[in-house]
Amino acid sequence: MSKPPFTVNKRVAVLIVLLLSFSVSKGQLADTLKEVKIKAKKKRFISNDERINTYAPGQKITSIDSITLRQYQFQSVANLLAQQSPVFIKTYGINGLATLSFRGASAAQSQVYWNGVPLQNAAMGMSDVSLLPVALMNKINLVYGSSSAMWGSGNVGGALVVENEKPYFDTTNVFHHSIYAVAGSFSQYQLGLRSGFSTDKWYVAINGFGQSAKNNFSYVDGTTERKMSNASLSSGVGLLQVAYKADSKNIVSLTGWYQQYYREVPRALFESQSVKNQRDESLRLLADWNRTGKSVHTSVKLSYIRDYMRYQDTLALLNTINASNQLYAEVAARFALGKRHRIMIMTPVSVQWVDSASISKTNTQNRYGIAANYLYTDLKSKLRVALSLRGEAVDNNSYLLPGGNIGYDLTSWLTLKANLQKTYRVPTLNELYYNPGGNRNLLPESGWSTDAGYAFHSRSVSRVVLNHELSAFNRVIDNWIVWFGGAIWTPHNIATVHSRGVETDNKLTVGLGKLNLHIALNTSYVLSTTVSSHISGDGSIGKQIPYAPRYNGQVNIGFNFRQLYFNYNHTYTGYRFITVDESQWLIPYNTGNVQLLYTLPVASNNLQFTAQCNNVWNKRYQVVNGRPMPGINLLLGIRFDVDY
Amino acid sequence: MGRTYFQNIISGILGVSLLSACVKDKPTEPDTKPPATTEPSGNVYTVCEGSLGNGNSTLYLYNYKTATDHGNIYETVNTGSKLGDVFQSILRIGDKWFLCINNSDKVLVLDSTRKQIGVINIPKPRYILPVSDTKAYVSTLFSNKVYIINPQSMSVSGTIDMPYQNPEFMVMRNNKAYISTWDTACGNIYTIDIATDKVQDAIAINNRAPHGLAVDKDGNLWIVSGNVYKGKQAAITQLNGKDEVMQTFYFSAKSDVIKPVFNLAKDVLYFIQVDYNGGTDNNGIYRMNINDIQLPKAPFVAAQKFQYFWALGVEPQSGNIYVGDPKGFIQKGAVAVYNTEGKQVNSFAVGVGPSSFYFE
Repeated sequence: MSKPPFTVNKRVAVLIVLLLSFSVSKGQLADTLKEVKIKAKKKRFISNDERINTYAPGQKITSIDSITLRQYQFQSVANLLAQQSPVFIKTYGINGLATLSFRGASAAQSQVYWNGVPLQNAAMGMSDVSLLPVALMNKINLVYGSSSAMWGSGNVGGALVVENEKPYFDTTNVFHHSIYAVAGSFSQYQLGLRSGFSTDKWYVAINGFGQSAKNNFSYVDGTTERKMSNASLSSGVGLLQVAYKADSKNIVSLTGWYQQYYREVPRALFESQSVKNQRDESLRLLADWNRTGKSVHTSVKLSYIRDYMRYQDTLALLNTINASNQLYAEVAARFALGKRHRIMIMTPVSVQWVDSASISKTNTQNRYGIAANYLYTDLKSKLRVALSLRGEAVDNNSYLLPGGNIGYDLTSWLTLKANLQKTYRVPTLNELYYNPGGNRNLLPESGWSTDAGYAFHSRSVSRVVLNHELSAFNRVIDNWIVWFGGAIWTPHNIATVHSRGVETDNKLTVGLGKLNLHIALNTSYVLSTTVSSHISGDGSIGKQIPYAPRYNGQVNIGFNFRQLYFNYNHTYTGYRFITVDESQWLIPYNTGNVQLLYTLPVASNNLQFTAQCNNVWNKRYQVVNGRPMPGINLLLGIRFDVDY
Repeated sequence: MGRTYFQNIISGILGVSLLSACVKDKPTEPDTKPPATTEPSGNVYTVCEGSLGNGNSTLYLYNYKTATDHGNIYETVNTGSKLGDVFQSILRIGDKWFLCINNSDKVLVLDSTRKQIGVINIPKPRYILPVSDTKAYVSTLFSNKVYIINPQSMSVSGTIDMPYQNPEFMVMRNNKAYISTWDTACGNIYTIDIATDKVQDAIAINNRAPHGLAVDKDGNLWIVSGNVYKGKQAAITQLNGKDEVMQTFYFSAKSDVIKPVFNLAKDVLYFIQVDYNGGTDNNGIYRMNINDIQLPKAPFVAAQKFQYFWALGVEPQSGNIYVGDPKGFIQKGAVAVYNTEGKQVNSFAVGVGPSSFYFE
């Protein structure tokens, strides 16, 4: 059995929590919470990516605000999205894989981008979002609906776009340091450090943490209550960012992200025992050059991503090692033609290969693309029309992907949106070449996706602010890839799947002096059904595809008063089918979760206390069949921010 | 803009968004539960192995004499209890049923009413061979052990170490147990002295990875071997009563051959050829006479594109051929019944992944 890469000593964690607690000075209160609320109200600032800021006026984009990021800063992106977004997170229990499903799309059709670079595992075509720590992210955006013309293959249901802090340069030489310690139920411990400085020429930041957990929670197996075993986790994560401002026009930055997770995989309810464990190591390197010219902005990205995974199960004589690799390069130029027209041209190129006994190294996947994005804005900036066209060659096949979206401000408080995209996903290396089972004859999944809706924003000068957005979508995908088999699993282009539904985001805030109340409701209704199939006597026609809940929603209700922030979150997830013919299913579940934040200024610095209580009603539930989720659990954190 | 107008807009959009759902979420349960009380004969049990990692295996029961479908009989009788993950095989010994639940590491024991009365913990059990009233062998995956159990006391009484891993199918012949070990390094089958529970002989079969066994009317043993995805060609080897190889039939490189079974007269061998890639070549139910000197070229029942069969059985009364279609192991499967002329005469639905039949 392999050893954990990192273990947080319980005593050290407790000691740091105590030391930081005693360093609090009394009486120096200031209203600092307002500073960490939504950083930018103007949409163009919600991301560092122009595809989001400029060329998606008609797409539904949800930006996770900074106070929500702080609530979940010690958890994974999977936990955050499961509680705060209508995106379904398919979680295989504690320490298990967690994947995204946007609008009834499969995990491989729901993509993840890191600073603009595709992050999904090159072999599997999906990302494990339980291994994405919120602590490293400065911005998290959810882009709903297809936009393959802008983002490329796999962007069928939507995209999760995560970004680290954008380098900034300050002539006053700014230093910023944070240290945090976390302790929680099931022997969860975490220690983290963030340190950075900025001068007029240099920006350097390091961000890292280590964590460990036993995850020995109680669960019910039939009528017997048991303690989870073989469920420990340990990890070490580090991110280094270095940026150099050569002159007023040129900035070069380098980002290195390394993380290692060792996870024991506990038994499923139908297993007698488990000795499974998994080690995931990821190395992500990104070099970025940005040149801001008088009229043309040019950027070059070069990235290498390697995801190593070793899975061991001595009971099944398994010791598999897979390492997927991706080289990604992108040159982009954008410019304006007068006040009405903007153009962005990109040339993304990627090469993917796998080091594995199951796939030959000669089986690579090479993608070459050229994409043009155009934005028209009318004189009053009420109408914004974005058109995109992407030509992409994948190995010996080529694809043309048109798309467009429109945003129109009907009034100052009501915006109409519409989006139409050709969408596709090329088969992954595993789907094509995995031995046994890979199918070299697979065709890309492809189809058209449309969505439309409106966004209502009442005036923010009022004490009562209402934001409401509704989006309806419709998507038909042909050649949907389904894995089937008993002894040997093989992917096939089996079906046409029709997905449609409605989502709403609603938030009401009321200001009463220093007390601000909020209530928010997100709802999602997704029908994702098989329309046709090549399987003889297929029982899936007209049925909901597996693990695509028709209904889910979240309520957030809470307040902030001076330095205190409180939020109660309640999530509902509807029936999930296990089989394609709806013959087996899992019952719906509700969870309640509480978040508390308290920020205490200490001189010019901040001491922040956080508490999260997940599953406060101690509900027994499973997201995926046979994998019990933890009952009520607590996570307490303390963070000290120093700026000078 | 008046306040009323503003309020109406808010009410309208909230109403639209909250009331837009239109499909009932709760799945439809069967209106009536199938009958738990069954007929004394004419029962065919379908082992539905489920899909690996989902814990959704089931035991379905159908009576071919009365055409009564008893559905998921284990859950019906045991008030919703689940069998576990990957139901591999079923066998009746005396008045008890023994069910090998492979990935749940257990052999469930049921009484004659199919009520669970015991569990024998055995890692990755595959098949059971009854040896006497008080002894049976249980083959296992991922190890070289055959477990010895006492069916009366429902307990493990010992183990037999095989020379290779993955002991698989077993038969009794000439008062000896023949055991195939489905290991790509193995080119033999082994006999066990049932008095001493020791490995007796190794018999070379001219091929690797034996896994399927059946005995014909003359007492000859037919051995199916191979593992296509590990580069071991499929073959059928015929052994006479003296354990001498009579002939070996080799299949084409891509053919995967599984689950041999004889007809009632035990002079026609039926087997499944599988193409996991969804093609129609070398895919279906095949049969050959025991005196044939070459393999059949045309299937008895051809599989359609994207289809392959996973269960095969011969009904003891009519000799009809039962064929299980797992439909990808991602939904409920189906069983089709053919007469010996190859004409379909019946069909019924079963659980996920029908993999074998047991006739009572």
